Amino acid sequence: MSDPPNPFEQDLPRRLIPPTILVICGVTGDLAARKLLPAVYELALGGELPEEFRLVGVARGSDPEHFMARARESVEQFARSGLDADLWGRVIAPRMSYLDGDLTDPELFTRLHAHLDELDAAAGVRSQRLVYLAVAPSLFGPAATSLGKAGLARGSDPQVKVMVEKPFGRDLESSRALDAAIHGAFDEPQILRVDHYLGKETVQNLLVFRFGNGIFEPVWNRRYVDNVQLTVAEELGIGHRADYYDRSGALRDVVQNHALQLLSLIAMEPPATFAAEAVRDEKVKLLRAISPFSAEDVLRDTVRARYTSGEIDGEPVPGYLEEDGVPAGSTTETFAALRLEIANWRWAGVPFYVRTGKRLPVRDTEIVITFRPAPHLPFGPDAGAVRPNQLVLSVQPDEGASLRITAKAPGPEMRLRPVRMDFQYGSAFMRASPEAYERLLLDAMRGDATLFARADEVDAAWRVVDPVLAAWARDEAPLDHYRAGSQGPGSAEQLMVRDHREWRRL
Amino acid sequence: MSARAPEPAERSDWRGEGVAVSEVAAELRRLTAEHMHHEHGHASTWTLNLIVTPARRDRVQAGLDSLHERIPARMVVLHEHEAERIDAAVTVHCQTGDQGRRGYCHEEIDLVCDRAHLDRAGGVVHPLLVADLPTVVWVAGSDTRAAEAVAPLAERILVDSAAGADAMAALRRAAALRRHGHVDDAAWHRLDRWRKRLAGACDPAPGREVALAADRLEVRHGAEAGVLGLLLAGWAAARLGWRDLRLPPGPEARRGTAVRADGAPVAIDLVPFDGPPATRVIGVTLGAGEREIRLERPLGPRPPETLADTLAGMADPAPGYDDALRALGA
Repeated sequence: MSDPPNPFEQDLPRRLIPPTILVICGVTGDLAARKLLPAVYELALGGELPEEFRLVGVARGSDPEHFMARARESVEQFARSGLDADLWGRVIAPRMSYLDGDLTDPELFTRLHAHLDELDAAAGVRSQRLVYLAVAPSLFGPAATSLGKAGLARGSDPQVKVMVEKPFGRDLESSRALDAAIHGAFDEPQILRVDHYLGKETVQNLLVFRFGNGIFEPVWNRRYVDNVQLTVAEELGIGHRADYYDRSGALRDVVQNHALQLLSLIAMEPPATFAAEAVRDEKVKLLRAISPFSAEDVLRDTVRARYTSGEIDGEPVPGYLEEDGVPAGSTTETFAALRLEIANWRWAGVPFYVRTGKRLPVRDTEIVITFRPAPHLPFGPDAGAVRPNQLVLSVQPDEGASLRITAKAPGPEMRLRPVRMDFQYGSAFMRASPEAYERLLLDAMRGDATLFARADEVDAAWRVVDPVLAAWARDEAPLDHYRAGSQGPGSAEQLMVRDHREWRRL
Repeated sequence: MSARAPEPAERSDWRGEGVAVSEVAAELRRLTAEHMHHEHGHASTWTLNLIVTPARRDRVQAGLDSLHERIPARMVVLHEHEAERIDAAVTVHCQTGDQGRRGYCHEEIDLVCDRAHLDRAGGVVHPLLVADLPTVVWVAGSDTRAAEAVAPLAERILVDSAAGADAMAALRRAAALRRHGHVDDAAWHRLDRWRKRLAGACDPAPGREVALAADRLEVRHGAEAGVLGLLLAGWAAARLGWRDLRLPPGPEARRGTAVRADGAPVAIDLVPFDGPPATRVIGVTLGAGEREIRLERPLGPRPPETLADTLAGMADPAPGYDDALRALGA
């Protein structure tokens, strides 16, 4: 006989979170300190964690006392609400424990399993287990295998899910190998691939913007849209990440994941529901509809470039090759631009331009939809040129939307001028948005996979960029240069000029 | 915490005695237009109209301040005076945009009216609202006539049934306002976590068995949170299928009974405690024989505190509230 339903659950706005143990492997690392531990704390502060929540930190070379002190420091330093000592002492600290060990040692996971069972026995509950692998991607596969051998993977009771952070491989082949390694121990619904961009409120708002407003959908297609531009620009250089970045480059670091995720949300068909599989099915369909790059396409429709010394905010900054830790003779790109086409009925013939780069003049992530011009202007030649309508969806730092329209300038003459209508998210909703990791951890605990990338999405995204990576690796496309603080390389500008278009100025 | 530095603020105002509402509307337009042409360039931003019914100023001020900081709204605040005229004060608050960006403005219109105007306050207020935006009426005091007069303008009516001295009377007033639109009770939102916790405690099957076989409920609450105890008991009764809920006030606590669906009695105690937090629930126990679910202070310390918190957290509709009121006979 099945259990009776929970009599109180019907009134809850969201799915109830069952008792949960969150295991953070690599808990002494940067990701845990800056993002994960503060996110857990904020969730506790907001009353979002279940009554029976425990956190287990796993790392090498620390001990429980140091771990607790360090965790508290991270919250003090990085939590957006600051540390509430009472909450920390009363709620968080008693729910945390630490396990020391080497992630390459399978015995660690046997101890972990025993520890989790002890925690559950002490609390008298059976908790779902989330294992966040906040470690180097090279450890994803071995850790997954060890979790499987320790009985903390497929078929385990209570259920175990594993969370992994991009990069998911460095090309299609390695991504598939990584996927196979994780799938060796886990089924797809147990794997949560984190692309933190998807946890941003404003990225989620893109879906609301598109599908919650009836005025956009009728013009969201090839009949009305001339082109779409997607920009992920950063002022920052590579900081202390030379080792990672030089092996990655702009295409892997941003385009394969963040940019293509954004593009899929902007261009996908409306999902029937907001359920995880419905949304992800549409995203995959869109990614698969992106026309693959041939060798000629790579030469014609892609740009790679590297920054040279220049100025940011009036301060001199070094070129990429002068950055600490960058190997001499590196050919890694810090800027990438692509012209993509989507071969489906909605978008056939509409170019999608994607650009990303470091050391550009501003930090700016935006999507620009430029509409086709009015077919006929009855105002005469003296009215002035009319610029096409442009809808700009800003993701960061100033989240919002603006629409460029044409208006009559005041006066006796018929003079047309472009004007902008602005909506700024921060001024309409003056409420601090939760950090992306708060939302993602909460969704993981709730069992909602909508904002996590599915294996076939990752695969489809790699299939888009893989031919480009391969051609660039063979040096078939020239490596251009751009001055730090400039709008990007001349070749990127040419990519647009050739199509009689221009990038929106950063 | 990456706190934003406070942006410089500017304000301008206008006052008039014995004015017509059309005059107030004209002055409001004038002030707003002036700010749009200000050297910093301001734009008006609103996400809602808020009408505040008469109440002591000190009682509504904190709520309005929280809105100024968090939710750009056009606020029309009603006051009562003896003189047979309308006095008005219009204030435009602007945050000056930094780094060449536009700043944003929102407005507060204080209308001081005689009783006759308050009794037809809907018509007085209507010309001052921004068309096409949701309108919230905040019933800040006990002026039910003014509340009834503006309620037809509202999509949502915000009350705090814990604010009055007579708990059941406050709940009956809230229930009466439901015929005009959706009522959001701040007291109900203060119970959000307790409802979630009760649901969480019933998620493992053993907890659910206790709830469904419960023969007693105790809600421990602060001295000023009697309404919260009532609402939680009403909600539990509605969801657990109890009938004939009776909770008469006693000298120290409300002690009452209900009848389970199988006819078994349920003892209910709403027990006030002195000391902080006076306006919160402190603990809940749901018992069935030897077994019980006992919940103490919640995990996080921050239920909705301000008007802005309540407005930001409003669910549409507030699930369970109507059933709780019905169970209480409100």
